[in-house]
Amino acid sequence: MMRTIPLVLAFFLACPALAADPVRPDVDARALHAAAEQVWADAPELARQAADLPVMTTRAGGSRLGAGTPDPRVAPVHLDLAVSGDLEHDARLAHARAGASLLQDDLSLAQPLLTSDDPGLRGAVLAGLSRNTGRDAGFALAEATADPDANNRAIAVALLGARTDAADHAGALARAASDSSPEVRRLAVRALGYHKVVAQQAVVQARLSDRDAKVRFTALRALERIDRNAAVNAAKGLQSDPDRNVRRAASELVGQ
Amino acid sequence: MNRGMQGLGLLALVGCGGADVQAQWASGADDAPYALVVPNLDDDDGDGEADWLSPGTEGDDDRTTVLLSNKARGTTLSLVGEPNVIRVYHEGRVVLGAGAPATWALPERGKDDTIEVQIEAVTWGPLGTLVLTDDKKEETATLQIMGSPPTLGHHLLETEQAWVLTLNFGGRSNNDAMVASLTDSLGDMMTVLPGPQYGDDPWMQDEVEHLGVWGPDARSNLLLDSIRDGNGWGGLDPFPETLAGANAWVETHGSGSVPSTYDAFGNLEVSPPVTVDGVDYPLGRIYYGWNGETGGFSDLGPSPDVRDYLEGLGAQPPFHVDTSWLCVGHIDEFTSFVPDPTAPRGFRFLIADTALGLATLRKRGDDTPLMRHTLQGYNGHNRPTVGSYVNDAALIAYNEDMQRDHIDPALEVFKAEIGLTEEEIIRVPSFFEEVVDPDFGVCGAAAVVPGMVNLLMITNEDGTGGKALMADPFVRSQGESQDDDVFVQAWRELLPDSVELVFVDDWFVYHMGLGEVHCATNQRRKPALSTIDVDAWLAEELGQ
Repeated sequence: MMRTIPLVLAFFLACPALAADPVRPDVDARALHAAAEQVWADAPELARQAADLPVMTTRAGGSRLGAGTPDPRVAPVHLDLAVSGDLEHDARLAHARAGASLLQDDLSLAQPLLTSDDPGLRGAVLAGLSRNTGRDAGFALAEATADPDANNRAIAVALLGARTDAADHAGALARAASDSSPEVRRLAVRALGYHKVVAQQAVVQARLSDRDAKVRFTALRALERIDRNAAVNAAKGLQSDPDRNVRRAASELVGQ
Repeated sequence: MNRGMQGLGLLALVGCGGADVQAQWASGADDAPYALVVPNLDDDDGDGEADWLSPGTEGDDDRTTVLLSNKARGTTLSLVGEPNVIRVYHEGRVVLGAGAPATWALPERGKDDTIEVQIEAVTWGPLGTLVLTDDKKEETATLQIMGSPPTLGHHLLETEQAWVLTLNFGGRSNNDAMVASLTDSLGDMMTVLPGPQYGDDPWMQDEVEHLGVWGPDARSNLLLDSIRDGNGWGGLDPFPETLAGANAWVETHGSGSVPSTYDAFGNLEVSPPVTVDGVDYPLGRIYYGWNGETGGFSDLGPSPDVRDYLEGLGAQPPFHVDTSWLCVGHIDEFTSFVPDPTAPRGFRFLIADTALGLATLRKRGDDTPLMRHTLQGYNGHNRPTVGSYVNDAALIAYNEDMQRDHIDPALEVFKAEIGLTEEEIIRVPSFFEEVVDPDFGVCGAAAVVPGMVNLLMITNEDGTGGKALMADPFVRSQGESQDDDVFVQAWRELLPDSVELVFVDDWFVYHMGLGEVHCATNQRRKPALSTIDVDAWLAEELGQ
């Protein structure tokens, strides 16, 4: 199960097509391997239990690990398994997510995965941070709002918006509100509304004329939360919006 | 009960089989008689193919017997309509219909003798008319043949059997507690099958829909096999076939389509009987979730083949509801029905209500520790206290959005399509969170407090009550009992007395896997047609 860095590099060099997967060769995963090996040495039973957890599939088709003993000490074991080429991809995603979900304040062990060329692994770690209330997790999510992969940017923005300290990352959310992906823009304006970020009201208002109907709809909802009067005024102009849902939301606002 | 044939009096087709109904007929009668015939698509002789394909199958029990009272000589029986969907047998031989001439001269008998024939059909709907003619007097009698349509079982129909798999993935990932609760509560009705035999595929509800097929003489079941295996869910794919054979057959529709989550049959339900704007739906109305109304995708829902098939069944006209806001996207995640004899139409409609969910959570103090919810990582939601829910502004706002933008509009659809009144609606406490997944990004909503409305309704014989088996919400502290749980208390207050509530631990295998008790189980019910005034229904269907 455990491997050393030279072996990993040798494998990648021998197989250029796979060299990008799962961890970029220039990223040093030695600290993660070492931490995992330490767990195997100190608490082999715990490590074994974590490694043996079944990979299950959610009803939505995603992968997850079965229930076990979610001891934070086994986080490196999961993360190390995630970078292992021995496992199927869905298993690596499940371990990456599980490992990340057990991390506390220090996310350094997850760096090899957060910087992986595999967008799935990056997304799995981000998803694993969903209930991590530490500051570093917030910064990691904020940074990931610029991830090259649109799915991961959406995950990052959604999770950033779900945090109680989301307003501290209003700048990242505001930038995400002009993302190339409409889903990311939608989630960003939604977050600004959920947290009533008055300072970014102009960003939200700008999205009322977004080319995507769902973004316009969400921007109207967000503006309603930030400044109801402004939303009512804006709604007057959206009552003839080409999208049925936007028109309905606007009419409801104006009529209330 | 067999059917007779009405006509002009000289020629008679009478009921047989010990029935107390003998066809009565009179000259010029308006109420032409009908025969409801079960499509003979099961495999009574076990030869591996539908009995219709093997004319004269040994032991066939799916034909409808009719007695011809042959009081005259020179009598012929003919078939008007599509000849390839009906066969008429006499003494084991096909005399009319598919594979036989269109007219049959009845053998001569004594004055009071009857001639027995059996009618076999291959499909449902109006199939044709048998015409008995006295050539000498030019008088006729007719019998309209209706193939019995397969019907989905609504929640007022008696449950005949239920299924669940045993699952053990190691550690806490097993459903031992849930299976124990189900078998304790339901006894022999609950069939427990070994998970490994079916690839440990947990989602029984999604794999197959049991449609009842009923006629006065016969009973079959159509096992509608989901195409979800084409979406990576192959474990339970062989399950419907294990139930096929004598009195059951399997059909798959949409095999050429690319399946989506909407093709799973947790997303296929049927309402109880309703009348809407003067239109009767005595067998209920099919409904399913799709996202065709949101504008994001123009036409994503169950496979068009499946939708066309359900529409084509004709007996339970379908409607659809936007479920695109849910990660899994199934209609069973936020709606259900329960019987209630005190309700105007004998049922109550259950629908998730997030404001009520929040209010119910707030009945406990913020510091109340939560068992299960507090578990970290892959075991729980890392929500250690009630406060971690009720003080989460973004989560509350998210639930407000789900209610306002999706659940309330869905309720309006139900009101319009099945004529729901406020009195018939029970809003049940529910709370959702947004699911993210590295495979598909931001996925949509799923129950964060276990989805209790996603329940298994086991209905009693008379359709007035039964047992509702649902997820234990675990909104309580370690050491407290279900009686202390505010969600349990709320449900007990809201649901009718005729329904016993059973709260089942589905947490580790199902809830954390984005499904609940209904998703985990399957059930077969008494056929809907067997519970209604079938003569009136036939008269309506055949336009008489």
